[in-house]
Amino acid sequence: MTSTLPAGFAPFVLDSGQLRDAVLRYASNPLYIDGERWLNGDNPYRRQLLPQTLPSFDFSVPLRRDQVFSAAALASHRLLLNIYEADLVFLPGKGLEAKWSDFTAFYSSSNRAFGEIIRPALERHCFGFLDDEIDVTGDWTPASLEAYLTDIVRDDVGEWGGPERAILSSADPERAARSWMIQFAPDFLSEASPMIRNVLGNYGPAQSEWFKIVIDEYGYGVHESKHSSLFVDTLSSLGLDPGVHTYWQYYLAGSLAANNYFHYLGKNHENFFRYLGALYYTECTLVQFCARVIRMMRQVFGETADVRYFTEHVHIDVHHGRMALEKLVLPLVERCGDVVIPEIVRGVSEFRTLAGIADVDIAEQIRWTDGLDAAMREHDRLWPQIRDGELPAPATPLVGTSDTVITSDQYDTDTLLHVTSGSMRLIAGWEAELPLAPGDGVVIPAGRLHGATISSGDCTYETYPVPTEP
Amino acid sequence: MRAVRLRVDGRDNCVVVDGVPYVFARTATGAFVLPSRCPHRGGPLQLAQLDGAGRFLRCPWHGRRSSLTRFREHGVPAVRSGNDVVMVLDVGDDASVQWRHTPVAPALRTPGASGLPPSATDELQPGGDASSAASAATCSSAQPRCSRRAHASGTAPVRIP
Repeated sequence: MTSTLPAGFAPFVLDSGQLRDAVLRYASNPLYIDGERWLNGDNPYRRQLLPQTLPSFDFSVPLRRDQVFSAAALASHRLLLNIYEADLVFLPGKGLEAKWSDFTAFYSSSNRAFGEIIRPALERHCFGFLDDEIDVTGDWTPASLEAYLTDIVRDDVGEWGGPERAILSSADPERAARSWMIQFAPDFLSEASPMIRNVLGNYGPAQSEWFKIVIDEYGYGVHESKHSSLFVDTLSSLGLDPGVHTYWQYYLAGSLAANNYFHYLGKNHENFFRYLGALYYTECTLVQFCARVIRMMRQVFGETADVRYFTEHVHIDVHHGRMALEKLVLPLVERCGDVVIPEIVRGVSEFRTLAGIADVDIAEQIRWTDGLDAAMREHDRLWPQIRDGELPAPATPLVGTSDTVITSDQYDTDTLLHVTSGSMRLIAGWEAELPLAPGDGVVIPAGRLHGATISSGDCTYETYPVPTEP
Repeated sequence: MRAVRLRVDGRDNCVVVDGVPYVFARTATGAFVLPSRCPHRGGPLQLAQLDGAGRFLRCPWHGRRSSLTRFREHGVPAVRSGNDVVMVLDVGDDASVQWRHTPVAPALRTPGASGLPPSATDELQPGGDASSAASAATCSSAQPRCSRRAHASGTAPVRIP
């Protein structure tokens, strides 16, 4: 027996040109242009996308593993986060009077429809490399799945991870720790929102078990107990603004990838079983992770940091890990059959990969912000060679006008920035700023987030790709 | 049931569990854990050639054919992430487990679309037991090795910082 698709039904695919045009159409929404201030403050709808840079990217092909910190990765994850969060409700803390047009523009049918058109291609672009990074093979059974799931969470024995090591060895551990907490804002301030995408519908007792986890995340209707509320208190205790996406410009590509992954799984229910695997792994490993964060925060901030968000997870995720296995994963395998097991295993492995990438990203960013003086010295070493033509580096002259903000971005190659007139403040991270006057400059490593504010008059500056050492 | 780890390339790319050696292999049709001892006379299947349009392995000793489909769909359950593999075997906690390095035929080291780079330390050279050495000479000239994927280094568009 053969089956044929109805005439006209074909996979939805945009070619490279169509996709580029569609991305530009989406990003042309005035909400997404460069802002006038560095921090977004009490406006959850303003989310800079650098639309002027987007034509240079080909979103129709997946990023490679070695491109996860590329400018394209940052741009596409920013796009995706906006698209996903059009499903969530955010309201500013100080009213909508001055933000009504932003509110309606963000939740407009056009913004949502234009986003949905490009979402599948962007997801493929951002997460496609995982297909090659991970193989799941063989004949999986419930018994082998349980053996695997039990084993995979044994790795985490409470030793410092990359971010904690970077923070504790930083020249400014408080700044570094705040930088890390900022990376969690996209996830923790709307905690469990991607998960809720999976508790709608009707799929038997496991659905109600999953809902119990959601209820825990939402504090049983007591706002002060809601996990996102606890994280608001954490941010406040560190002197940080708990507004949704106040710190948009500081989000790293790796952090956005780990956050967006759960939206990607939750939004596309063909990935339902991957979400189960990622959920199990997250709930199990959060216990040790949060215990480490508490130790680190106490070491860095003493008793001033509010760590109740993390102590709550040390407690509740012991239960959630067990519930995920015994009440969700294994019952759903029994209900649906062994065919779903490779997807569950893949979800575990994909999230582990992305979490590892996020850890490397913030650790590298902390080292970059710690090394701004060295980055200036590197400029001073290279600049005479570039100026005298000894190094073949084509210049790109640029002008920033007074009191403007240059939205954060990153280069794909090490790049020398040299100020020729006026002045700017290079921003490499939270409270990591570098004033640059005429003649000053800095070498910005590939993949490191940075932006700037123009501090006096028109600032003219040039950028040069740094030739790689032979 | 017991989870056992091994590497795709380099050191510890072979694990011997209760006397049975396993390696992780990948061909154009997919990836799989290969119990690398031929069931006929114990030949080194990790040095096998592909046969039948890539659907079978042919043992270097006596030419016995093994179905890749069987390994992929009915074989040892495993997951590879990067260079790391976790497989689950139906053995107890008291099973003997030993790791070692073994050469693997180029035909079983096909990279994925984004590359599964062969290790520079994993060249096919005679080593280990005599049977491996004898077979390696045959395999090494049969198919060229996959070269390490060159990283793209084109000039990136320069943007405002």
